[in-house]
Amino acid sequence: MVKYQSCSLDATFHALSDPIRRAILARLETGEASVTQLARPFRVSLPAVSKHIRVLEQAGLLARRRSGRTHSLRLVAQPLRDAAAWIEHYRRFWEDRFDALDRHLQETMHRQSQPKKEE
Amino acid sequence: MGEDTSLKMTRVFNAPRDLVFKAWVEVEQMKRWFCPYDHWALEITNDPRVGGAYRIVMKNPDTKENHIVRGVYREIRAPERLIFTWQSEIIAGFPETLVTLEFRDLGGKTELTLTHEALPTPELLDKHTHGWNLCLARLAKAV
Repeated sequence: MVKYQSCSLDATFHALSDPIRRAILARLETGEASVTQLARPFRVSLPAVSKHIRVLEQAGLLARRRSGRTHSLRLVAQPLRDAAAWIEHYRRFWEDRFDALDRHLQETMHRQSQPKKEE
Repeated sequence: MGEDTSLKMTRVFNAPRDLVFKAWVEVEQMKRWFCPYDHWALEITNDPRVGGAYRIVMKNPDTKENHIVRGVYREIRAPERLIFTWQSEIIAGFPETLVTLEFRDLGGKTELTLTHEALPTPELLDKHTHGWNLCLARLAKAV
């Protein structure tokens, strides 16, 4: 199964801010590729390329499929299709922040309602 | 063109208005909830007064990369309203956008409305950065 990372807007922008990462996306347009295949055109180490791939995955731009020891990567371009989808990214970013704020407020309220313990 | 590049969302928080407002301006509180991923580190500097600046550095420990958001306060009316600019420090061409927060007292609960205006669209960013243009055009073809 493909696992999508939660994709915040900042993660998307961040992912696209690097030329190697943009080149990886461009390469994946032509179809799935392994990490080794993706690394080939670049004059950087395999771990460096893996790092870029992780950033793209965190942004929800790549999906990974495992078969045995080979990991194939493919493009998940949907998030960037049009401006409406783009706005949707910001919405998701703020919704995630609202969720976290909600948790933070509940914890704060809970702490305040507890009898004071020794600090 | 002519697309709406703003978004508006409302949520009711089960906490008094003072508390919700403070969570947006007090650094120690912001640190508790502003991070996009639990294991990321957050560095925040904040000067919550009109004309004062804030800067939020989000550090990805896996990649050792940062992404940075910064802006300036335009209006601070505790505990009702907060307006600040919002800009990415790492994306070339990211325009200054505007975030407005309105806190409505619902008697122990708080209705928060967030409006984020003048958001950049891919087209807008294209004008600034050739790399983006290339990338997005290719992606558009791919989908």
